[in-house]
Amino acid sequence: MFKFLIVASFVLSSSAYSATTIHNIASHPYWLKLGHYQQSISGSYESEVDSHSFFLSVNGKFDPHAELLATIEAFQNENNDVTCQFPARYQWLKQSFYSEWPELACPEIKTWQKLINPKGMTLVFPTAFMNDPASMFGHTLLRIDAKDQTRSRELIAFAVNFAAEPDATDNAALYALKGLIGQYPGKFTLMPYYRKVREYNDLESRDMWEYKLALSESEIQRVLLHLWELQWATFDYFFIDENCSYQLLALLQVARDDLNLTNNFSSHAIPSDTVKALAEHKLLSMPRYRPASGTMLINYESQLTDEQIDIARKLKNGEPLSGFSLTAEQAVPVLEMAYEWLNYQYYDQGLEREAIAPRLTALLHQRSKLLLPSPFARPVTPSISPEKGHDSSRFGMVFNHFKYSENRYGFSYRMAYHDLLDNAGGFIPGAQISFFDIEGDLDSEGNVYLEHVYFIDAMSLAPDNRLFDSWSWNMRVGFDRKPTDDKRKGRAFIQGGYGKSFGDASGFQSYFLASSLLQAGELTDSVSLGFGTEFGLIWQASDAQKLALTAQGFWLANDASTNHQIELAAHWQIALAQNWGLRSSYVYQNQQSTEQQLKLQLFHYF
Amino acid sequence: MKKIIAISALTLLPLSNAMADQDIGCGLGSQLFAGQEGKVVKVLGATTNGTSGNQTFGITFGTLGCDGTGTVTASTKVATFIDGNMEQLARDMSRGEGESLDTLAEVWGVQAQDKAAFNKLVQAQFTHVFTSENVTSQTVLENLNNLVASDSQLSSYTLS
Repeated sequence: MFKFLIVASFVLSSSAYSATTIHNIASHPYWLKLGHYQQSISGSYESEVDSHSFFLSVNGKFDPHAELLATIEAFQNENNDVTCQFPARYQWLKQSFYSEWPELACPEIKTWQKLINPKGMTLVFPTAFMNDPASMFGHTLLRIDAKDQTRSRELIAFAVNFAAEPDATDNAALYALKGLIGQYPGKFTLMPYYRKVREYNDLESRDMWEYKLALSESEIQRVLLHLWELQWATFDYFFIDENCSYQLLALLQVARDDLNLTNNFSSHAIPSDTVKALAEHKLLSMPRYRPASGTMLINYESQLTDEQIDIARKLKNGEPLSGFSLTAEQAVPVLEMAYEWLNYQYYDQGLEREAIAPRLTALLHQRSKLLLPSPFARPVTPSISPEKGHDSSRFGMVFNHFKYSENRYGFSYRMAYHDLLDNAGGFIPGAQISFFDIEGDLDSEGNVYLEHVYFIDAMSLAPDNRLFDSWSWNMRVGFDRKPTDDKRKGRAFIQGGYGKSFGDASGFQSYFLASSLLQAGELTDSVSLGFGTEFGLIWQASDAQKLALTAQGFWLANDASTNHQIELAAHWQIALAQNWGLRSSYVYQNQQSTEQQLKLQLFHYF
Repeated sequence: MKKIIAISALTLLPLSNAMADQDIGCGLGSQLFAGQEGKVVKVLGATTNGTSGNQTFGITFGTLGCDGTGTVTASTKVATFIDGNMEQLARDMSRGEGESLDTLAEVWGVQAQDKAAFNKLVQAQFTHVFTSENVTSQTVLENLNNLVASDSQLSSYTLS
């Protein structure tokens, strides 16, 4: 069809295309990509762009055909303002259908292209940070790599960022709420890459992964011309879909006529999934790793003795170096450690500038007097990069064997994202967030049971160590079943805990939480309140194996039938492949009666 | 850019006068260890992916001078880089090495054969560059430029 169109353009060699031809161009996938049109089930179109200035036709948002007619008309009238506003539309129409049109002549765009001087493009993915499972949803941005770029010029490359533009007068709560429900318009901006490195690496302490994209120079030019057009575009910004990662895909897919990256993201676009989508299109190469400030700090810590840490702590607290009679070689590591440590605490805890800034400056002054290179080795790049982690949705086949009731078979589904037993590679250790995790079972008589549904099941285990005094917490909201004398009865509940964690989240870790519980339903007759504790040991035995022992016990304040609720469990998950896992669990429950359960689950992540 | 100006003239009326006006739009004058609002803002920011609200970047960022009309000079580039990387530069300079310091040398136009001298100079003279915690990026730039101007090997890199 398109060959025909191109031939037709030579034959006709005039601007007078037939109505049918125009109609075909209007439904061409590339035209639809340029207008960010999505087709609904009923067949009608709507653009994801929400600003009027992005459209030349009054009804352009809903009518790709009318928009095409208005565009062609403006271009044929040689309206240079419009041409220079929509250079990607112009180039594509000219190259594919209207070869007789003059060359694009836009001095401003020329200047801009010369300044950016693009040679390559890099997808940048800052991962989650500890103690904020929500940041697992992450962010993605692009970096435009210039022709004269070297490693040391990377920081001043341009970054392409898509973000909500909040109203600066809104307070924090309003900001979060409006951000979530899409009240702030989303826009593309260009800024120096170091702004984003400072923001993610240094302030938020998130490791960054940089994937070079396999795009040619001319493909990158296409992307940039479209980015120019998007100056006039704003998008209703939704946290879950139409988010930064989705919009970056929508931008990148104009690189090639036949590239379609947004198709699989109709409902939600989790950044790590969009990274995977690019990997599936063979657009990614081996990533580079940029460790976060917190990663650097822990890396420093791992290279020091207890005695050195102790000196660093004293230096950090303001004691002068002269009090320690150290050689220059001995002083350098403790001074650098003290600075990194204090600087991290300063930002992480929002400490008083008046007290801390002079101390930081003094540490740097003392360090500068010692003309020796830094003795620390750089952090090791994690062996599994994020795009090699499991996908975010999960489907499971479940076999439940109960000691005191009959076996059940079932299926489970989890919308997103990662729990502490899932295949660990590519994820931040010690952080769990599950959204909408449901299991339905069948007994031998064909009765269907809702075994559980957890709307949210989040846990953050940030271990205490020589540097940090961290807190761990968890929260679970949903419905599940507990044993009683005659059958397993359901309850709706909300449960939360707060406490401590020790060890190494990617090795052997323990946690201890003080918890409270509120539950209601068939199980309890009335609303009952519980207080208790949760305890666990988690061991990542290898890249592919995780084992856990967990216990929770509650004292129930006002339950008519029992005063306690106990659950002990042992879990073992083997990663069979990137997107396959096998989990076996033994669960002991003591409530109104006792039950023992063996649970076998085969998971597929997708 | 790195042009030969009489050192006397430079120390008398260095960048401050020549650059102050055009750089005002860049917000030159950021402080060392400016701090931030702490964890709540950080967590909210990460959750909604919002920008911090004080950024005025557009697609055409960088094509115009800081006043929005002029052109971008080499000294403007150095100034904005210092302004956006104060702490990283302070840390790197105190050690005489690091990515931000490498980038500064690049932006400044220091040739490969002079980079070691540049790094050595800024470390040795660190206390004269980052004189106190209240130093602004404007002063850091002036201090650095004065150092470069009075160094026999590097004086040709003096910014005007």
